[in-house]
Amino acid sequence: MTTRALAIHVCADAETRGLRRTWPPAFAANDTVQRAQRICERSGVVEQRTLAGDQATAAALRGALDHAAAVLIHGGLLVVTFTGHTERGDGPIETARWCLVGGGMMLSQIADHLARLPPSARLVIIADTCYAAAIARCLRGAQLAVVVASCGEDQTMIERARSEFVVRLEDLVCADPARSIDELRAALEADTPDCERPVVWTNAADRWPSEAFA
Amino acid sequence: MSNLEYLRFMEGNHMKRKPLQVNLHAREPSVVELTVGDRVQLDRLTPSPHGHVAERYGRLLDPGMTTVALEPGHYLFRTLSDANLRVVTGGVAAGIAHSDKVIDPQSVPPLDGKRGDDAPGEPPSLTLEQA
Repeated sequence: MTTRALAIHVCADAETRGLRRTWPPAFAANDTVQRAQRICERSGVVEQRTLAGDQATAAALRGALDHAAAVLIHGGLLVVTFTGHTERGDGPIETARWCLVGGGMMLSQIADHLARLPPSARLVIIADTCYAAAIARCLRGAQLAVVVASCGEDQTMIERARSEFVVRLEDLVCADPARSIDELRAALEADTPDCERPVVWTNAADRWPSEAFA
Repeated sequence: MSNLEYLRFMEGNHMKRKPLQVNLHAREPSVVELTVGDRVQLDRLTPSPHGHVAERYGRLLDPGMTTVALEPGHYLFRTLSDANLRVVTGGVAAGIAHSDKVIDPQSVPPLDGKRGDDAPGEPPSLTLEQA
């Protein structure tokens, strides 16, 4: 069975591990995933899978990404959301880890799995975490990709009751799904502090459909 | 801080990649003058079952000196530049996160509350002036 569009939401709302330490549940993770689900619904992504609680493991994420690679059609769309902690460590940024239940997954490993998507697939990553934009640097597949990140690759973010980044993203996308990538970037960057500025990155500025979440 | 002092403060106040996180505790209604070199968000911290949670307090602070009125409570801000905090009225304690340095004997909670570990590097510095 194949699909035109699907979403994988990783909600680190349980105790997680990265490289060296254990992290408490991310306070706003549930709220972020609910908003991401609504963004996907509004954008026509019907098939959505959420890995939350004890299911938010590296094995489950690998399985979900491999499943997506198997079922996504030519030109299909995959949305991946991660909300939780990222442990930077001391190594190159590719070795930073999304913290998951039982142990983290390196950004380079996540990129390896994403590279297995059909080359003609389109990928949207919503990263609501510290060092959020770092995943963009790791992507190496042929897929067209957009990364919508809560902060820069060398920035951390403060835990809030709700992620200001995702609240604004939902407002923007749901108010006008036809918003372009440049318009989305400008709107997300506006009124943000220098040390925690959202990033909208793409490797396909001239080839992506006019709508950011198309 | 006079205009001349501000110009001297900003001269050589280069942006760093690692932010300085300053926790504030206003023990009473207070007014402070905060001088920074970048655009800064001030958050108020409210207790929750899972610890203190930050919420934006007022508008972003533009580079330069801004006068801010604080209700009693806990606050934090992060900056990529050296910062100067002058307490104009009231009582405010300041502490730097991830540091033993507390620039006031009054208690400032050791708040972390980030979505990850710290990046390598040295953060900017804070100076505090009590009225």
